[in-house]
Amino acid sequence: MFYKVTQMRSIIGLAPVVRKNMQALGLRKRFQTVYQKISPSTAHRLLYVKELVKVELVESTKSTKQMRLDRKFEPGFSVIKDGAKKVYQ
Amino acid sequence: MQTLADITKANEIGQQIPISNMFGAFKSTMIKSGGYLWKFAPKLSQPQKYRLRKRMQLVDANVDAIHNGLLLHQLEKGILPGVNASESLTGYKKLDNAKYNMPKESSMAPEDKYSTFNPNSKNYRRSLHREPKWTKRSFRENPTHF
Repeated sequence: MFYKVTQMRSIIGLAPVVRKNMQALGLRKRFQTVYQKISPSTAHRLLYVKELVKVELVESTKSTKQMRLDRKFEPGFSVIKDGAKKVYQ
Repeated sequence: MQTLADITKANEIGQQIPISNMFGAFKSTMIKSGGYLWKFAPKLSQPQKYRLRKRMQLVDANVDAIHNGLLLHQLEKGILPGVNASESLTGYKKLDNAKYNMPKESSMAPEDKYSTFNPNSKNYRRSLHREPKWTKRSFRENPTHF
């Protein structure tokens, strides 16, 4: 079990304690995702930044490369029969 | 003939003074005479309230995920939590407090959602959008009787 943490809000203008906790979680920019081991210290860290992130529970981690691949469209195309045909009702 | 009091009053309510009475570049507006003019809407708008509710719901979901995660981790590892811990408590004061004592968005009154305690305001309440960094902080608990 892991915490999947996605940064939703920027840390600009926030208190040093919040910024340091975000840094400790490995977060730098919005929509960045990191996976954290579950422990009391991670849980308390996340509690400090609960307004800025989205926390999910997942079974396994993913590498940055895998996350990037998941976001990609499949290359090439497939032909849909009568796909462009207009149907008037 | 307009007096200074008239001009000040007109400025306060946002009226425009005819240019003939204002001496060109030396016309006295609130910005010219005081520097900054920070404008706040008197109330939160409906979409602002909607987005605020969405953010509060996300915080609730986050607290649940953080607490559940640690609880499952403790069960998995067979770690016995603190003295006060039961089946649904992690034994960490801050985490259990956030999970069980922090008001949830769904259980809060509109007044508490959209305003917060302020010692200098009328009726000790201030609209949430007057608070610094109000979109990045939580304002769920107020002093008792306020």
